[in-house]
Amino acid sequence: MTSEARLVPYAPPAEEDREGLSGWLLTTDHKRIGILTIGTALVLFLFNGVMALTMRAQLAQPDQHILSPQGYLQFMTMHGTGMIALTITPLAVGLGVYLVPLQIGAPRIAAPRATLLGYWLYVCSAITLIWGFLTPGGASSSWWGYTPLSTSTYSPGPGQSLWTAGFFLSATGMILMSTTTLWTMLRMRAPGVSMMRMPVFCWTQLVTALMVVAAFPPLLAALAILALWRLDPSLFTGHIWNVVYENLFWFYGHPVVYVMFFPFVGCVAESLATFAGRRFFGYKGTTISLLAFATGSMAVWGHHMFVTGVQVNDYFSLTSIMLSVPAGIEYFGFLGTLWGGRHRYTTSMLFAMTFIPQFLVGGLTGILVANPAIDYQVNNTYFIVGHFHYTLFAGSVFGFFAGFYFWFPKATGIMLNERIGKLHWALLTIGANTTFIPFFILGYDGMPRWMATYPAGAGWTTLSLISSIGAGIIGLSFMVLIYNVYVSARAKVPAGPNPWRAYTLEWATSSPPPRYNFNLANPVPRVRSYAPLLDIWEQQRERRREGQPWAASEAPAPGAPAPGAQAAAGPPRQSPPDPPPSGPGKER
Amino acid sequence: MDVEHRFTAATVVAIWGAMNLVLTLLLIGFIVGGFGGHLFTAAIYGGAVIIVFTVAALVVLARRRHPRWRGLRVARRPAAVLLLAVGFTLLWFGLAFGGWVPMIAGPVFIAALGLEFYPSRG
Repeated sequence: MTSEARLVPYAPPAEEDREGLSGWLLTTDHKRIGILTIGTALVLFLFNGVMALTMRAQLAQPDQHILSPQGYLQFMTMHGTGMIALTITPLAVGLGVYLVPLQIGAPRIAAPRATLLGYWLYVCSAITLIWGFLTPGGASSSWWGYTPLSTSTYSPGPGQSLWTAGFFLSATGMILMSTTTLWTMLRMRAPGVSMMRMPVFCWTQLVTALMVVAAFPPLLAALAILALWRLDPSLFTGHIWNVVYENLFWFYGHPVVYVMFFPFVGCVAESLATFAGRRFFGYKGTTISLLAFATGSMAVWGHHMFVTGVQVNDYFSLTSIMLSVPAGIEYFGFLGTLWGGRHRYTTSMLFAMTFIPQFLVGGLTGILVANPAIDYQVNNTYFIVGHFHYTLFAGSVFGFFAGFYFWFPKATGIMLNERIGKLHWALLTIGANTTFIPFFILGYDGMPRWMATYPAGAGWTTLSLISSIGAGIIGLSFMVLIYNVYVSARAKVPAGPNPWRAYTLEWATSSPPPRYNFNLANPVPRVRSYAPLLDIWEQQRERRREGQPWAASEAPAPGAPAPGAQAAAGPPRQSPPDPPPSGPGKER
Repeated sequence: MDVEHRFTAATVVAIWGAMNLVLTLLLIGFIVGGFGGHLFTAAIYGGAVIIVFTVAALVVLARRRHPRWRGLRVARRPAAVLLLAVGFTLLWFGLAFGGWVPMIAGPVFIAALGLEFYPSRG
């Protein structure tokens, strides 16, 4: 492989991480920090999901009192804050911490101790927020904590203070982790990996990290104001401070939606390209549209404040509707990648393909409410709840699972069971749509959010019951996922370095990768595009066609599938892959 | 130099900053033009744009100082990081439980510092 491989220009240091639990908890290996972050976020996902199920149980029938009205608001506050600050944002950032150095051929992440500090701040934030929730009189002023409701005058006691502290710690942790990921991409790419040769996933992480660095500090400012306000209410008098808080909060609050979206677009892009057997279509257009998309999403925060009457509604309506243009380009890239490909319907591919129409529902309803005239009507109704659950759950969570099933073999070295995985996908798809479609109709019928219960004559009973049944199916699907991980961990079907015949650099090294990602046994291959392994296979195929003998050292393309992987992944195919019928697989 | 190589790390960040700057100026235009809102909203956005340009400038400076990335340094004493996180959390607990809690953070920070400098003494 000497002519195709470029050895890493540094000798890995001899010092390794400690073994055992302390080796994990005090690690500076970005892969371990990434796995810890994702693992912690998934555990908290279950915690927040149980709260959602409890609320749906309450709303399944009218006039139920499983939770008191105040308890319901506390559950809702914790569910919202927990899902955003403790679950989906860390999943998005954690994926970057794990994958970005691998995908750009770097041996480690920049400033690994800062990354570890970010993880521990995140853990401390989770403890703080849950402690605040369990405290009598826990935070109940929603995940945005609007003032003056969240001040000590109206929310006395430690619950709201712990919420403020926990949210601050979480945001600080995410800033640290994203900054190190960003710096890794900007400064530590392997030779040959130019910006325009980074995989699509890295580009999604790049814009995500830029948004975190630019949009999260205003949240810190907002929470600092709230903290001081709680200490001394006389410091902030006058209505203007409520508006300042709202603006600072939403300057974070809308970009964070895209922080929780872009990385999963990257997961979907990598999965689609691999399982369609071709390069990602429209790479340059997609990267530029990602930059434009991220820019636009920084400039739309005011649409959360349309009804306040103190915002520039025309501007924010314009920028919000404009977001459909870069989103359309990305969708064009997805569909172009699928078009004419030779599809393999793995679990990851199914999640990726389901992401496309489901996120479209979330996106299109977002364009509806970007119109102030419509927003005035549906604001604070279940229509909005349906909209953001289609983006965050039916979109982002499906994108995450596309990535989870795709990279699980890389991170662990073992395959997940595909049949159980497909059962997980089917249940989650049925559950998500059964839960969230009724929200739109309920919202249209005027059902307000934040309602602990509703009267029998309101006409919302049937749809609420359907939605609650759907939530139960979602819960069941997560049990299937846990069972799958358990069964697969026992079966230990070896993955090999590249079980999916994917194209990016992480698949050129072993599964799981060595401490410094690449070494003499697993060197960084030569990078000539954003799909370096596909380049090598194409070159090999060309030589074979021309009848040129392979050099013995060149023959094995990086990451040949392991025998065990075929059994788990489906029927065997040739490796390297044949070109798609439409052409040699070059970008069109 | 082709487009691929002109699209450097600093350029990408600067382009993103410039795109945001355009939207900031547009927001200012809307506010000044009497469409509502207040200039402090533009100030928040402007602050974020400054952060982005700062990142671009740091990339340029880092590249000038170290044109080639200079290999691995092993991160030592990660336990100090854990203590820092705990200390920082204790500081914030003061908001909920009163001023005595942040005082506990003091020894934690001192322990973190000790752990940080221990290798150089040893």
